[in-house]
Parts: sequence; C-alpha cells; structure tokens
Amino acid sequence: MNFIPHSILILAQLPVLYYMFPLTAAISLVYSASRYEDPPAILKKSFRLFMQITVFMLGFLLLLYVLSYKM
Amino acid sequence: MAHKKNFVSPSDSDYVLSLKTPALAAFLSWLIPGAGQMYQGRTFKGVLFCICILGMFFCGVQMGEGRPVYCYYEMSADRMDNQNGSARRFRNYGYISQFLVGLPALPAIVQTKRFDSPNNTNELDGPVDVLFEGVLLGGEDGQIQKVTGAINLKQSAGVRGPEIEGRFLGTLQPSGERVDLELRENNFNEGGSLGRKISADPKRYISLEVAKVVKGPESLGTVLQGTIPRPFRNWYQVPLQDPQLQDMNARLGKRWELAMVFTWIAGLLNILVIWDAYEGPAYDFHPQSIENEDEHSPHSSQAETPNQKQELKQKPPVSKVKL
Repeated sequence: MNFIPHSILILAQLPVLYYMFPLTAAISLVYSASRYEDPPAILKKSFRLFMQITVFMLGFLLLLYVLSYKM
Repeated sequence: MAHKKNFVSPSDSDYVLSLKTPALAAFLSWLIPGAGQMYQGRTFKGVLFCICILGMFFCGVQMGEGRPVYCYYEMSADRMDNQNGSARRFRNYGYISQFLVGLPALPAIVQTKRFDSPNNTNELDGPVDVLFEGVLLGGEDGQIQKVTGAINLKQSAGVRGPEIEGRFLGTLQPSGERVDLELRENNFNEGGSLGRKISADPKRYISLEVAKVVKGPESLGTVLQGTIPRPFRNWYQVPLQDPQLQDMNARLGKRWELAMVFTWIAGLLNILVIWDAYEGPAYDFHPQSIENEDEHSPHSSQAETPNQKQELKQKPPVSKVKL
C-alpha cells in the first residue's frame, strides 16, 4: 500500500507549484519582449509561450502522479 | 557617429529603431533592468522588463526573508570537522546570476566588506533604547520565564575593557507582571554578551546578568537572554553563517530554495534584456549603418524637392516602432 503516501507526497507539493504561474508569466514576457518590438506581438507570443510551458509542466506533473500511483 | 546603431523593419522601412549608444544602454539595462530600453525611448519594453525582472527578484528576496542574496556563507568548524577550530567559507555561486540584476544585488558586495571589517565587533556603537524579547534564566527550580519589554543599553569603560550595562523594563509572560531589572555584562559568558554589529539576522543576540531586581519577584532569574532588533543596513545581504543557513532551511524548507531560484532566474533573464538593449530585438529588424543613413533612409529617397528635404530635417528622429 505504498502508493498512497507517494501520491499524497506529490499533492503536498502543489502549493509550491502555484509559484510556477507568475514565474512562467514573467519568463514568457521577458523572452518574447527580447524577440519582438511591437507590444501586441510581444503579448501575443508571450501568452502562447506561457500556455506551452504551463501545459508541458502540468502534463509532466500528471505523468509523475500517475507513475507514483501505479508504483 | 560609429557607435550609434539604427535598425529598420524589413516589413515597413518607414520605421527605424534607434538604439542610441548601445553600450551605454546595455550598461543601464544591467544597472536597472529596463533602464537601457527607456533611455532608447522604448518605454513599453523598458517598463515591462523592469516590472518582470525586479518583481521576480524582490519576490525572491521577500520569500527568503531578505536573505537569499549573499556573496558567501560560513560553515562552523564543528560542522566541517575542522581541526584548527576556524569556520570555513564557501562562495555562493548563485550570486553570479544575482549580480546580473545589477543595482539591487550590489549591496551584497558592500556588506561582505563591512562584515569582514575589523569594526564588526560585539560592542555597542552608542546607547540604545530598543524593544527586547527573550527569557530570564536561572530562576528558582531552574524555570525559564518569558519576558518582553524595552531595554536600555550603554557601554562604559570597565576593568577589562568596554563593558555593557543596561536596564530592562517590561512584563513577564503570560502573567503580565511588571519587572524592572538592572543589568550588567556577564564576563563568564562564552558566547559573548552581544552579537556582532553586522550579521545576516534581523535580530541581534544579547545575554546580560541581572545585577539588581528593582521591581518584580527577587528569585526571578539571574541571566536575561534574548534578542534586540538589528538595523536593516546591518543585516540585509550580509554573508550567511551556519546557524542562520540552517535556520532558513529548517523554517522555510522549499520556499528558501525557491526564493533563491527566483533571484537567479531574474538575473539570467536580465542577460536577454542587456542583449536587447545592445543589439535590438532578435526578429523583424535588421541593422542599418548610421554612416549610410542618408543614402538608405526612406526620408532621403522620399524627399525630392529642397522644401521637402528641409521639412524632413526638422522632424524628430523616429523612435516609435510598428511592425
């Protein structure tokens, strides 16, 4: 019955993950602003990058959660 | 002027981006993120960089209770199994990326010098009258009594050098009974009576012997031990010592590490900002030599009559960019 503590351990890290959102937003904005000059283009590209990073990281979190559950 | 750079948009050659003096702009962007872009007239980007990078940096500083930025840390001799009994220093390599944020991280260098200075002693700079919180030790049955209040300290010339004496006015916790104590330096105190002037802790350690109980129960205790506030300039960005580092790790856990990661990422992102100030945006613009500006400028090709040329000369340089 070891899978339950593992799953709980991952869930216990969720509050720390909240910091990911402002961090990702800032990284996306600065990166896009260094690529483009036009404000609408910066905002558009940074939103896209933010979504890409967030979806990738949440997907990875889900994968880890499933793996820890199965073990 | 060869050091000035102009960039034109390939999609619309009417729009010219002037980087003014790129080296100066890059330096300004290092000093204060986004300042270089503001100097170049790129206000939107300047404000954006400033908010994002400084916001991230100070968010990290706040999460780490003002202590994640430091040049080195000290490990005590017993932790390092050091035979000669001296603490060992380790460089904080994370400071390299924090340094890239510029001005907000520079106090760490000054504070390292102040921390290492011979003036950083356990003595008082002058009389102090501050809040105190701590305990009274050595009472009846070895009980520890919590106290809070105000402490008044001054330094006088003693037989074996400067000695600290003072007075404590406060209340016993939780009973609220008022106490008034006369205090003097305890010469047998191994740890010293007072913590160092400059140390990476907002609270300064103090331990004094109770010389006389002016008001309160006689058998209250013999030693008053606790902390007094340390001025901000004496603890912010000061090198960390082993107990402080352990305290931060124990109390903050992952948040302590996150705090440092925030400050590191802020510094690393500022590389992009410095580069943007020096070279312009990565896409959609290509450099145009300023010496050939007259030949390639859309203004010069459009100006066909002397009147039109005169009119264009009077126009301010284009700094607004549109794709």
